[in-house]
Amino acid sequence: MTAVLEIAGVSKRFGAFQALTDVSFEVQEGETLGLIGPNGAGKTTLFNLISGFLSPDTGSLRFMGEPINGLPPARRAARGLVRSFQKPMVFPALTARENIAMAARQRAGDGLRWLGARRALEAAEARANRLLAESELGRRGGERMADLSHGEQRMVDVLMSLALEPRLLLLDEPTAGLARAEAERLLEMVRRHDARTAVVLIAHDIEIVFGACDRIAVLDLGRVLCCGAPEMVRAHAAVRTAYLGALADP
Amino acid sequence: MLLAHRPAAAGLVAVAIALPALWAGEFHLRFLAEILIIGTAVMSLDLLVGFGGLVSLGHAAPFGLAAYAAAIASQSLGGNLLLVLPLGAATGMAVAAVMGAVILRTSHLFLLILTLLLGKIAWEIVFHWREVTGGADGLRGLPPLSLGPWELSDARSLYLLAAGLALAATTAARSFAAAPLGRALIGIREQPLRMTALGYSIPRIRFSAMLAAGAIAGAAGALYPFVNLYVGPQSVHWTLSATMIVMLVIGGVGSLWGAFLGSAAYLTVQTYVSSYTDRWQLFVGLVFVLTVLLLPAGIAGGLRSLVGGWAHGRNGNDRGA
Ligand SMILES: Nc1ncnc2c1ncn2[C@@H]1O[C@H](COP(=O)(O)OP(=O)(O)O)[C@@H](O)[C@H]1O
Ligand SMILES: [Mg+2]
Repeated sequence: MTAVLEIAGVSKRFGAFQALTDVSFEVQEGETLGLIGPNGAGKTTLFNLISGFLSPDTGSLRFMGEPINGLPPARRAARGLVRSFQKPMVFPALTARENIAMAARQRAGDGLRWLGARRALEAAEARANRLLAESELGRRGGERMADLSHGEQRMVDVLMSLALEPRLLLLDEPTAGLARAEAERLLEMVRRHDARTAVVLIAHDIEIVFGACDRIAVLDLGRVLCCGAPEMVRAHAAVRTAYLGALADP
Repeated sequence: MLLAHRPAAAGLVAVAIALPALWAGEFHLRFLAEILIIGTAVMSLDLLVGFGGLVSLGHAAPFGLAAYAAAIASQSLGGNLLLVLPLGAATGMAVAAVMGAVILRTSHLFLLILTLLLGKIAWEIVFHWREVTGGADGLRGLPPLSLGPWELSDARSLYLLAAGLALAATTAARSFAAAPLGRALIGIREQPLRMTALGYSIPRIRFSAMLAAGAIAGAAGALYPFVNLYVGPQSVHWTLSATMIVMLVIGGVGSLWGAFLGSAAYLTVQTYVSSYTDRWQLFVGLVFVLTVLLLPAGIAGGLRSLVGGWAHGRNGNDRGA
């Protein structure tokens, strides 16, 4: 197995507030790692550090074996380190297809084309249509994002990330506000899309996380409480008191 | 969609251009040429403002410096159009490159102030470099424009030239807006964070937009001195930059062709009302305020909903607009 992401001793403080302390873990190719923890635990902050939107105070980040500290976020994305945002972040006035095509063009190296526009536009649209078909949203491609339901917007948001053909995909609460069945369909689609992609999934629905993930890391007050297989995390005493509570009992 | 795909619109534009060329007199032809030239510069500003959300208060700099470059070159090399026009475009592009490099990472208020200051610097250079630019007096006595054996100095030729430039520039701007680059420009206006997360480089997109807008403004600037038979420091002054924004808002931000309507409305008020009263700026102010209040999408937006409403009334189709 190859480690796609290696985090070692990462800390981050905002003013006097210590948001993350000495966080270390690895993510393997093809693995789905769940990242859980109460609100304010530092999950989104950790995504911001991995994707380069914030830089850590200490510690090192390696992606595909290479150090990425200091690499700007757009360059990380171009290398296949892709993230989504906790709030759906789409282009509301554009169609679902165009939202996905925007990502597909960048991936194809056509993002800033002027000459040869037609061929680039057609290729990206075809790619967007294939992704829409995979998600069973095929017939909604021509709708403006603003006219889609919350669940459909979440789906398109994830399709935009998939259009970048990520090696590592960081999903920040992609299932928030979705019904259980809808959430499971979304995660299944991500897993089905490319088996080699490593996924880090933040979600609050414990059943979904335990069902969809190979390993789970629990974050509390900016520290990793434990990290391991679902059964092990479920049994972990500190996790039970800090977070899972009664939920963990069978 | 490009004009070539809409024969009816293309025909309308051709007739609209041809009619004045047949019947208008010397004064009106020159006046129309000025509307088209300034309108072209305003349209290039629309690429930045309407598509990229980049409000520049220094767009007179690429326009005016290109006008000077063309005028100065013509004094020693003659008014060959094939020299003057590319030189203007290149000057506009170079000026925009400098401005673009400065504003790459700024936005909103700082963008406004930095472009204003850069425009002010351009004006200072023009105003104080008397030996080359004529200082406050500007430059007169320019040779006529020419294309091969033809001299383009009469009002009709200049008008047709300006119309050709406006058409070519609008076609270029539309293809820019429709291409991946133009769509990325809209993307960074709408959702810059997501664009970064998709791997787009915001500075590169902005810089490219600045270059495209600068080249078009520069090409327009190159013709300006030959229509007026004069170029002066007002063509670089920040008040022209501000006027361009007013024209753009009156015409309709984001429509491209609205720029020509805004330029026509503004210059018409300026030309005709100023012969009755010195307070013509008051009228412009009134027109501006009324437009913003009554037609938030400018004249272009108003026309569009008018046509849409008409189509709706005729065949009950509500997708006209
Ligand atoms: N840019 C920031 N500046 C200051 N404080 C921040 C910033 N980002 C996050 N925080 C704080 O860090 C803590 C962790 O936030 P976050 O990572 O969003 O938590 P989670 O995603 O686990 O709910 C919160 O207390 C939050 O207020
Ligand atoms: Mg969060």
